[in-house]
Parts: sequence; C-alpha cells; structure tokens
Amino acid sequence: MGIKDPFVRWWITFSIMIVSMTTTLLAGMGKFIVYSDQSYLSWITIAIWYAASFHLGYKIYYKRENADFALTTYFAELCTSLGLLGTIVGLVMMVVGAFDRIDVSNQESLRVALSTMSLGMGTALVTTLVGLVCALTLQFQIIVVREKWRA
Amino acid sequence: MWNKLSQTVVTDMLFNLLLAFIALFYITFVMVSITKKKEDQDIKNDNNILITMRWKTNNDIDLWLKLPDGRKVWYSNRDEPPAHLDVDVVAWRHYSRNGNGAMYDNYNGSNGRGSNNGRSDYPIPSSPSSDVGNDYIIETNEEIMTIRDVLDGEYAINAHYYSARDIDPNLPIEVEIIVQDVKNSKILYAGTKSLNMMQKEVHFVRFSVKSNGKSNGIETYSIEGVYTDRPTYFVGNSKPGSQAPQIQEN
Repeated sequence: MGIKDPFVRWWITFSIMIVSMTTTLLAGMGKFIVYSDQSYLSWITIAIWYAASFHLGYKIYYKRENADFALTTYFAELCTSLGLLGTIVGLVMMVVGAFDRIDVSNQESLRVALSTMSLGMGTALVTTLVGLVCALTLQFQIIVVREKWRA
Repeated sequence: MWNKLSQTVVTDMLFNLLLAFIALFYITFVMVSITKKKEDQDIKNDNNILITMRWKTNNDIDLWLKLPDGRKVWYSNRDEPPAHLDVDVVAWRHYSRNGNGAMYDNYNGSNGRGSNNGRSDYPIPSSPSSDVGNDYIIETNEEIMTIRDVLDGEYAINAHYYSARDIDPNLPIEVEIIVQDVKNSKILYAGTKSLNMMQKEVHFVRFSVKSNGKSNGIETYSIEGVYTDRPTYFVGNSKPGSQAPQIQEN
C-alpha cells in the first residue's frame, strides 16, 4: 500500500469495515443478536466500536502521525471484557433461571428450564463473539494507521 | 496490549466451556428423570389378593372372576383392572409357545388322541412308546389371578371345565382354589371341589372388599363376608360380543 497519508489509510479500512459490519447486521445477524443476547451487552459493545472508530478517525485527522492510540487500545480491551461480562451474565441467567423452581417430575417444567438455559447460553456465546470481533477490528484499524507500509 | 487481550479471551472461552458442561450435565439429568418417569407408569407391581387354581389332570379348566361392577376376568379378557389373569393354562400343549418345552410340558399321548390342533410347532410323536417317560407325566396345572388394587364390593370366583383332553369327560376332576389376602397375610379360602362334567361351571367362593383408606401411602382394606354357600353362575353370561362357552345345566 503506497498510501502515505494515515488518515486515508484509516478511512479506506474503516469504510470497508463499516459497510461489511452494517451489511452483516442488516442481513440477519442483528435479528440473531436480538433473539440470543438477553443482556443487550452486544449492542453496547457494537456502540463502543462505532464510537471508538470515529474517535480514532477524528484523532488521526487532526494529529496525523502524532496521534496516540491509548484510548483506542483501551476500547479494544473493553470490548473483550464486555464479552467476558456477557458470559458471566449468561452463566448467572442459566443457573438461576433454569434451576430455580425446577420440578423434575413435571416434563413441562423441564422444558421451560431447558429453554431458559438455552437463552443463558445464547447470551454468553453471542457477547463473546461480538466482543472478540469488535476488539480485533479496532486493533486492525490501529495497525493500519501505525505501520508505514511501503509498496 | 495483545497479552492482556488474549488473556481475557482465554478466560472468556473457559467460562463458555463451563457453560457447555453445565448444559450437557443438565440434559443428561433430564434424560434420566424422563426414563425414570416412564418406568413408574408401568402396571402396579403391588398385589393385594392372589387367587390360585390347581388341578392334576391335563384337562382344560378355566378360572373366572366376577368384579363388583359386573365385569368378568377370564381367558379372553385377562386384564380388567384391578384384576389380572396372570397365568392361563391350556393344558393340552406338549410344547410351550417358544418351542423349548420349558413351561407346560404336559402333552398327553395316553388316550391316543394326540391332536396337535393343526399346528406344526406342536408335533405329534410318531408312536406312543417313543416318548414314554415324558407323556405320562402329568404336572399340576395352575392358573393364577391377581387383584392389584382396591375396588370396593363383592367378588365371585368360579371354575369352568372347558374341555376334556386327558381323561373321560365324565370322570370327576378335583380342582383346588386358594384365595390369599397378601397384604393382610391371610388365607381367605382354600377348598377343593370336583368338576364332573365338561362345560360345567362350579361356584367356589365369594368375598367382599372394603377400602379403609390410605395409611402411610399404602391403600388398606379389609375383607368382609366370605361365603361359599351362595352360589352364583356367570360364565355363560359374559360380555356381549365375546365368545364365552355355554353352560350345560345339570
């Protein structure tokens, strides 16, 4: 990549990312997240990703090579941490929701418990997935801006 | 940055694995409890009253029971809760149903009739002498009926001489019936009567059951009025549509 201006490099990367991410969300991933994630932590993570990306672009635009990435790095870590938090929330939902008031002799009660449990598992796994994807893409933006690639 | 991030991810994945294990454990637990529930739905393993009928020829005698509400339990209607005809003996069989001769090896070749009733799985021996030692063994035949729950009212027990396969149909057959009250460890009735004619029905005993409610989760009952001197006949008057043998009045 022979593009010398870091802002242009960031802008191209960010455009590709935001188009693919929004397309994925609209194509059905958004609905999947709504159904699976009962804690809404995925949406918070996605919001943080948008905010962090725009913040990074803003800094690069004004400071060019002198921009620092401390806050963006922090946001990337925050995304994975939110994924972990979502996992814990899912675990709590599963254990408390499914095993509370469970009646082993009643098949209907077992079925309800199983569906509650699957909701907890969905929360745990989806927040992990979203957190990881957001963190990786944020880091990729930093790398694209920081490294001086030559043709 | 990378170290801290990957550390968080690894912790996260460990938690997810924990979740998966909990889910698997739970599914196993559900499966086990469903299987257990199915086992619980089987027929009551309980036994309140046991009726045993014995006779020592290879003729076909049948045990009949009339329930308080008029239903009858007999060889064509074996399960009529609370009563069940657990064992019905068709006494001419040489081989048992599975062909190994283990159950009722009481084929009778002594009167020369030796019918296999058209069935190739109950072969007739080629000559009577070829299975001397087997043919002349006459086992005690036994029919068993159980009453597995408490149903208030009067029960009546009759025996019916269905057909003569072994000896002259007009020779008397001694038939013994024992009625045991299993829960209360009592013998309600034990008596022998002779059936001297084919298609004849003989009344043995009648008794009444009265429920005493549940005690420690077990249904209790008491037996009242055991009569042998008030005969009732019902074999020929069985359910409509069923083929009950006709009684010959004597």
